Amino acid sequence: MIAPLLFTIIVEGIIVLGYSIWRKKPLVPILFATTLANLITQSFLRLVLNLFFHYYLIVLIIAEILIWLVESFLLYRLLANQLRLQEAVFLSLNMNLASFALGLFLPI
Amino acid sequence: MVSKLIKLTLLLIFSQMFLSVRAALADTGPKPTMDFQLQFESGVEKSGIVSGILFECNQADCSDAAPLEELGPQGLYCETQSCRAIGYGFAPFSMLELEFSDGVTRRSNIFEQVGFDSYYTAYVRPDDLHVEARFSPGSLPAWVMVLIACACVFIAVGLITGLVLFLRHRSKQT
Repeated sequence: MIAPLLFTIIVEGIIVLGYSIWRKKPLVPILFATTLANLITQSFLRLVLNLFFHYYLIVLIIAEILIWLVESFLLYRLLANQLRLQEAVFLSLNMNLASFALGLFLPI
Repeated sequence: MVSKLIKLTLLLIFSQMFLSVRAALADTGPKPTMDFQLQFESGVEKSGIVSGILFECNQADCSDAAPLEELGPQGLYCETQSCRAIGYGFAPFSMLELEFSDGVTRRSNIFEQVGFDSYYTAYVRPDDLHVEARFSPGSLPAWVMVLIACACVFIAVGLITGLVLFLRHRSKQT
C-alpha cells in the first residue's frame, strides 16, 4: 500500500511543482493539500479494489473518475482563495492522468 | 490553516503505516497479485523452479485454460521457491504449472482468486501440485471488510475531529 501511495504522491508532486511555477501559485499549501487528498482517496481506492477484485479494470476506471472529482473538490475547499474551481479541476485531472498512466505500466 | 493541514497530513501518514501491516510483507500495488510459496511434501526431493505458467480459466473445470499473457508488468515471476503473478485482473479460476530442476513438470489443481492480493501455498507432491489459499486480510468476506472500513473511518473522523477541537482550544488559550 505504501509503494503506490508514495509513487502517486511523487508523480502528482511533480505535476503540482510544474503547475505552481507555470501559474505562479503557492507550492507548499498545494503540495500538502494534494498529499492529504491522496491519503484519503488512495485508501478509498484500495478498499474498493479489495471489495470488487473480480472486476478490477472497471472498478479502477470508475474509482479514478470519482477520485478526480473528490480531489478537485478537496483542492478547491482546502485551498480556499488560492485555487478557483476550474483550476482545481484542471490540476486534479492532470495529476490523476499522470499517476494513472504511469502506474499502469509499472509493476507496483 | 497550513499548519493544521501539515498536522492532519502527518496524522494520516501515520495511520496509513499502522493500517498497512501487509506492506512490510509484500510490496503489493494497485494491481491484483497472486503469491505462491512452495512446500515440499515428505518424500519429495527439494528442487528449484525452472519456469512456470499460470493458466487462467473462466470455466470452473478449466476447459478453456489459457496462459496468463505477458503484457507490460503483467505476468508470472518465479524464484527458486516461490512465484508471484501480477495482472490487470485475473480470471475467476486458475491453474499453476511449474517446471522443476528435477526434470518434472507439475500441474496444480484448479483454484479461485480469493482476494485482491491472494496468497497461496503450493504443496509439491511427487507428480503434481496442490494449491491452497492462505489466510490474508484481503480474503475476508466483503461484509467484514466493509465493517472494518466503517470502523476505521469512524476512528479516523473521531481522531481528526478531536485534533481540530484540540487545536482550536489551544489557539483560543494562546
